[in-house]
Amino acid sequence: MKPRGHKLQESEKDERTGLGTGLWKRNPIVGTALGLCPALAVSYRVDNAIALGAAVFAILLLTAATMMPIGMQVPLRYRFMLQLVVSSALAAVAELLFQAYAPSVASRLGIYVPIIAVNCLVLGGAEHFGSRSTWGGALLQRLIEGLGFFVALLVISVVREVLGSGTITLFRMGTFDGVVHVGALESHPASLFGYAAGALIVLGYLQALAEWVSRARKERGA
Amino acid sequence: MSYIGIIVTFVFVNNVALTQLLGLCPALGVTKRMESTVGLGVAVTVVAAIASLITWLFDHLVLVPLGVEFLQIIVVVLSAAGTAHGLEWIVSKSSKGLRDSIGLFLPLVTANCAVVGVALIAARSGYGPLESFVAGASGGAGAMMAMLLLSTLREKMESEWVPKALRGTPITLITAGLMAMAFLAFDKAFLVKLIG
Repeated sequence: MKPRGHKLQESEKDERTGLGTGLWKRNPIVGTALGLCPALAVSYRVDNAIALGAAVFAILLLTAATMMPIGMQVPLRYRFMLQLVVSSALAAVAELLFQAYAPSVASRLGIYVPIIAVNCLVLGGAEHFGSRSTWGGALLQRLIEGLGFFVALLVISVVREVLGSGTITLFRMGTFDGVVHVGALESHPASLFGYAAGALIVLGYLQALAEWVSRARKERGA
Repeated sequence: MSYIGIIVTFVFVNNVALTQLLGLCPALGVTKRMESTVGLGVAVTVVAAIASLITWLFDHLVLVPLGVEFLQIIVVVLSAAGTAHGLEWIVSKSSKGLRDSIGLFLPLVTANCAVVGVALIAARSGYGPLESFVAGASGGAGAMMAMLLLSTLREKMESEWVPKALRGTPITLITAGLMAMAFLAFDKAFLVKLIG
């Protein structure tokens, strides 16, 4: 949360490039390394990542939307506590929804759904709820952050699952059983990528790739 | 489960940082310097232990009798935040040394994934009050150990050449990944055989 303070001034000049910058340069996972904890732990399967990404996206937006109207009436020192209550209540709701409609996903995600309550990404940006920024702009910014988180999580999970088990597990739909098989990797997977170690290594190289690409783009003067 | 079993499980087999991947955001920032790593580690350990105990108390005295166990996460988050705030207040009234060493890091663990994760895992493992406390303390100690190892490696790496794009967070993540690979050796079945 710390780096956000000075980013706020920067955000005014960045506004015209909003979506692109938000999804790429300031991507929560690849760029600013926020909200990593649950993201890395569950991304060994693509369907996990989609479910968790959607939950984080919803909780992020709903927390912001709840805090904006009521946040201003609360003194600054209690605002963070109030935000914790809101985000953990929403996380509890998310867990109940998963248990009701997708019990298998709920059991695979385990504690990583309720723990969205203290996700750095969800809790970050409490200072946006002040009077300085308009509600619409702040909400849009959170929306872009959530989207960036979702996309990065999806990329990590595809890399990990393809390398780690040779499949891409999606959701069962009609005649499609929900699993895409990736040739020879399935019989000889590098199962390390299914473990925590693989998650950290994939994320490390992904961040390096992002850094390398944006460096190359800057050198070309783009 | 015996206390030794709990300690070994939480420190090695299910290490919070390297196996459960919790509490990475502050760990990445803080492991640049050894002193701040120790400070954050101690804060995480103390808060996780007390928060796990408080969570157990609330769980068994309030949530279960009322039949509202689904509110557990709110209790966990608030007891972690409350513990951190309470300790911050106590430390602020005490010696300057304590204030400068741990006091600075208590605000960082108000809403820390590692603390909340450990307390939540302890609460969902069916432990008793003292077992929860031990689990919380060893979870925090495991996080501290991982962070200390990582910060030592980072200090060594400062004199090494690292490709430009990998400098900073990426190489730290990859280092942590290699450490996590080593932690795979702490296999549950192997340790069960070892302790009996």
